[in-house]
Amino acid sequence: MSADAIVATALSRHFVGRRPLFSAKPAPVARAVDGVSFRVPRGSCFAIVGESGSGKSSLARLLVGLLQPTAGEVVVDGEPLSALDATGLRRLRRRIQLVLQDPRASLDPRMSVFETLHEALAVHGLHPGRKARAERIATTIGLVGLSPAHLDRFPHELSGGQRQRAAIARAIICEPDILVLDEPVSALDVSVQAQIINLLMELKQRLSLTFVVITHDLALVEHIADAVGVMYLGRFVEQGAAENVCDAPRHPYTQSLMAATSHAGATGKAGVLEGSIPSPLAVPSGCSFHTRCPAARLIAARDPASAVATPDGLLPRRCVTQDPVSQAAPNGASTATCHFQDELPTARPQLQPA
Amino acid sequence: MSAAAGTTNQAPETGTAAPAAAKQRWSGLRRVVAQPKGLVGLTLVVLYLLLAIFGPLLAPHDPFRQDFAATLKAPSAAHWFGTDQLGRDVFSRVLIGARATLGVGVGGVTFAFLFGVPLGVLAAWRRGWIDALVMRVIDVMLSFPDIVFALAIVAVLGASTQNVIIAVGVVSVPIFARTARAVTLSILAEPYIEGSASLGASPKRIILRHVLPNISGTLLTLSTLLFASTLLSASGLGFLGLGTQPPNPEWGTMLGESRSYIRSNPYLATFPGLFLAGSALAFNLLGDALRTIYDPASRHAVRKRPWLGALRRKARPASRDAKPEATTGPAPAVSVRDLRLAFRAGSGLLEVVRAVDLDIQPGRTLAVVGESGSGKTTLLRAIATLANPEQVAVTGGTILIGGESAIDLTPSAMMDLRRRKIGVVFQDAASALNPVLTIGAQIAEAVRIGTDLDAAAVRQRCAELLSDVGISDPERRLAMYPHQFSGGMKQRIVIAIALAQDPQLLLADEPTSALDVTIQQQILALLGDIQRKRGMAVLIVTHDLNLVARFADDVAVMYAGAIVEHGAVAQVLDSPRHPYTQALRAAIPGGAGRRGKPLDAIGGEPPMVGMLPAGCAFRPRCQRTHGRPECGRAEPPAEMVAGRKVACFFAQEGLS
Amino acid sequence: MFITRRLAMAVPTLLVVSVLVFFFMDMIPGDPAQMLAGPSATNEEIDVIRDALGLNQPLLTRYGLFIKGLWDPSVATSFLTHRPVALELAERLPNTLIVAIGGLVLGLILGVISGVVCALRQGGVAEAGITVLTLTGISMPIYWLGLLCIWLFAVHLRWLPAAGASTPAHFVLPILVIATRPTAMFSRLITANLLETMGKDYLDTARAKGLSETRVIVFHALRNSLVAAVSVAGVQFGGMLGGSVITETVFGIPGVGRLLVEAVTRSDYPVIQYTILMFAIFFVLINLATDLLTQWLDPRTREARTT
Repeated sequence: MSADAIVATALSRHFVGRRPLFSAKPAPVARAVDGVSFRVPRGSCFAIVGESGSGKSSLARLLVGLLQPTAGEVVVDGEPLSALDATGLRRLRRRIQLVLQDPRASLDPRMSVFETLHEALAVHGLHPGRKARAERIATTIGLVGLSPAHLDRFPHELSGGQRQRAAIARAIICEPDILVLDEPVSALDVSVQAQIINLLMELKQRLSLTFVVITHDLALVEHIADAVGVMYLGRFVEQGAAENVCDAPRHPYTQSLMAATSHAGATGKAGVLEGSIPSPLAVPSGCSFHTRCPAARLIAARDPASAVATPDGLLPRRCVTQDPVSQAAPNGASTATCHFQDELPTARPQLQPA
Repeated sequence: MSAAAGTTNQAPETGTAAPAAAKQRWSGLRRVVAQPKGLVGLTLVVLYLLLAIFGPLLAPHDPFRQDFAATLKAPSAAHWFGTDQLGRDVFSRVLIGARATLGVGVGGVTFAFLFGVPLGVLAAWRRGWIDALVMRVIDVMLSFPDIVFALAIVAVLGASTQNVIIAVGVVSVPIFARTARAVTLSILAEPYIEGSASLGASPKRIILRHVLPNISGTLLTLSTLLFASTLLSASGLGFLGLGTQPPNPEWGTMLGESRSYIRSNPYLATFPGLFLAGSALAFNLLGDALRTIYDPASRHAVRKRPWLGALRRKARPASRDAKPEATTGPAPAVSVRDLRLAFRAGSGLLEVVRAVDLDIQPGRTLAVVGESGSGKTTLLRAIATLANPEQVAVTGGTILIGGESAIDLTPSAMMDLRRRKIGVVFQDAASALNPVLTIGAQIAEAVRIGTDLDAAAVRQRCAELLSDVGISDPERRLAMYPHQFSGGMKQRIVIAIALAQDPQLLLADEPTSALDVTIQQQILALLGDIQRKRGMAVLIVTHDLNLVARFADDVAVMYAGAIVEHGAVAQVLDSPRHPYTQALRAAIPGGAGRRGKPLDAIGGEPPMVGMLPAGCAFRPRCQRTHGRPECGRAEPPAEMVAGRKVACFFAQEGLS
Repeated sequence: MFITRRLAMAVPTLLVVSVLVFFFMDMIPGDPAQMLAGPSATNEEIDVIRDALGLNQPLLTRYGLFIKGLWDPSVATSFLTHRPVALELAERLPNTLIVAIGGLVLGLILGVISGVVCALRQGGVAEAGITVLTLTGISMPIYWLGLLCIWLFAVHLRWLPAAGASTPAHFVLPILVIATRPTAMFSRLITANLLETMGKDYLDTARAKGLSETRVIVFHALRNSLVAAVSVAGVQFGGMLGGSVITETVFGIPGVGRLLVEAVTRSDYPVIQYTILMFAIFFVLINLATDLLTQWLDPRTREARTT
């Protein structure tokens, strides 16, 4: 057993669009995931944060082998996914399970909770025998805080929180090592979210699980993650220990995200990013964040000599033309992909009162 | 693995899967019979099937025996349906014809099902060239009108019952294949398929256990409906003399034979036609009932009688105390007193908003916070005069908008109120814009109404509105359609429409919860700017406490239809007094000190509408109620505590 | 962009359709030449006919000849009347088109009106009545309905002629009868679609502007439903062209459908071939036209996202 539950190396996934008929133009390529590397130590929680269109959901599907990478490699528990055939991949899936965002949609509406859990055991031939399986199922629903009375219910007969508990039960019933959780609480009511977060933390401890959490919610990341990767247009713009990234973000994008989710009780405009995330079909040149970067505008205004005029305003030439490389923070606990990260204030940003 | 260790001891339950599945299976039948259409259709279908099976036994006469002494007789006691041109008993021929007629339908649909469904499922599952090939074949097959196609097949194979079955079957193959492909594709896109795949389920298992059971309802519906049309085309071939050959009785063939006698003996055509139409009707009724159950598109909640219901309601005299009260100081933009709203359920009324009081002064922002089912959206829609009177009843209280009652208005008064005073922003901007109209047309509609601006002035105003909401190059954008904008831009356009008539009150229902974090900030900043510039009153409904903290002046926390805490944002959020508000604050992750520690979750879930506990609605989930019988006896009234209104008997607790 | 792709797709479909119809001749059991010559013909006579039909030539040449028949009336003649098939078709096509187009237009008008009423009066007597009528409409064998109408209006009341196509009055009954099915179909489609649209937020956006309910329904809701109706109209039109084989038999209209039925019963193969080919070409063109029209009416499919 290796020390890392998951190692992703230079992972890329490009989707090739349809080439227009009677056109010399090449088919459009969407870079959903573009050269992402990270490692998740056994027993830790790694969070992937990003907006919609950042490629975080594609990344989750690469990790569990539901998508094949265009380039790069995923190693789960010392086993490279690319070396596995279809059967081997299915066997591996017992150990790495996916929990999806909307439990209403992720449970088969025509299967009772019992049947859903039973299927998981049947697929991997675990606990053979009717009695053994029923026992395992009873134990598992106890673990997620449901009662045997829920076994006969169909998804539409459960509340949102109960459905997510059932989805979690399906994921842990085969005794996996790793859970990939795609927005595990964002479809739930606030008061129920806390219950599910607590349940997940408890299960992680109790079953010594490794978590990969995909989310847009930095508050959730701060609460449960050990390490975090902040994703923008298919790449990690910043990654490292959760404390460092959240408390002292170095990349302007992370800083804006943190400002947007901070709990300050004031109204203000500072930190509000302009525009929206560009299409992955047309990733901007240089630093892909330059079209929206507030820091780049400030720097360009301070030093107009090394700036260029673009449709998005006056910007430093480096940001528009040069791909930034990942640099470590002075304390070594995080890395950020920004040309000017050393010139930016790193304190946790607070919104200014209007 | 240690996963199973140390878990709770539960009695093992065995054999629960089978009864659960059975429950599901029989529920389909129950739901069919519960509809009048389904009950009538199913009964008729069963009767017809019995007729097809037992018809020959019931026939009083030999259907083939000719009697030239008694040709073309009208119905009589001896011959209930009369006799035909050869003196044969029509009643007996109709009874016996049931088997041939329905048999052709069954045969044709079975043929089409057996070839079409596997083809469609295969195409959807394998995609790629198989899919392309199947689709091309379907295209070609659909290039022939069905009855012409069937005619051609009969022309090649010769006229006989068996060939008619093949002909009508082949004609329906592409319909089955196309439908099976479409539903399979949509099922394969469901997250639970991805869930099973990630579980490690084999493709075979996914198809057999997940896809087929979930498409079976649609296919059953299609089979039933196709059965009716197959029956009609097959009998049509018989009518043309190309189906079942005389002297064998089949309803279509009998109709064809009766054509020559329509002038003198119209009853000859009456009975076989009646039975034929009846059988098609039976299957159509059943199919319709099945579709209501299995087609998600026909199942969703429907607004009933939206306009005529409203139009027909006569202008009632303002019965309730709708007159503006004499107030000192500026009149509030909206003033709600003791408002009670109820859903009209089948049996009666389910109270969803209970005795809500609120005021918003011009230039202020009130946020109504609550979870799903708290009644916050219903409250907003009632204030917006958009609550559907067929679904929501105002059971008490008043809503005054700028001093005018918003309840029980005539249609024209309602239109007038909406036009002059109210702007609404919806949660899902994508569905709040009409997809087939340009945004220019949609904004102009709001600008034009009630004014006499000329076209150029309207256009000018629309462009100004777009720049007001931060959209550059407005002239060009006006000619674009909603789908050409991103989510954040669409919400800006919805805001522009809401602002078009300079409302005094802007109502926003979760305006940012469908948007990304960074876009949420943009929209909130925009709303804040606009409010400051125009001095409107804003009512925003949300579940997001962070948003409230940033954006609102006042906050009203709703739980189970009632406002439990209401006051200035700084007071309510920083030092909440109601246990629910306190628990909500504590349940949100964040704050460096709490990292990794369990959250103070609220146990249980919010109560369902109409199923409130006795006394305080929050009691079952409340930490503070322990050992206090008062909470179960009566609902706590809202009282001023520490500068805000709180509905809790023990709100003073902890205050020193 | 879409137009070129869609046109490009129609070409192979047409090609395959024409090949299928061509091979149809070969699938028929028995020798067409012999059938044409009659039972008493000698082998020499049959050979002459075979030669005249071009049956002795290679497959590709025969296919070329078949296609040439599309515009050269001298290539294909009816076995029965010995007149060019093209002439037979051209004479009868107008009758068929009058009935089909008349039925479609009438069905569209009645269907939209009843569909709107049904959607807006949910739960009322009107809804129940229209639902029963539409269900009866789609369940009604039009050949039976036709016979009943002939008996009632032509025999009993003597208001309208029973059969033929010589005066405009002759077309009234066929159009009324053939319109039942499309009326029912459009009515159900519009109802279902309107009910779905009724739940959409954009109607509330429109209401919040202060528009009248009538304008909200007609301008915002119905407009969207009509897009769906157009796509179904194509299928219905094609269905009615095909249905002409039955209507024209019932009402004794000399049209293409009746020509086909007679040709099938009397094994007049050139007529069968070219009639079916004509129906198929019509169908492909109608589908093409509906696709393009729907595309044009619905901006979402018209162009790619640009912002």
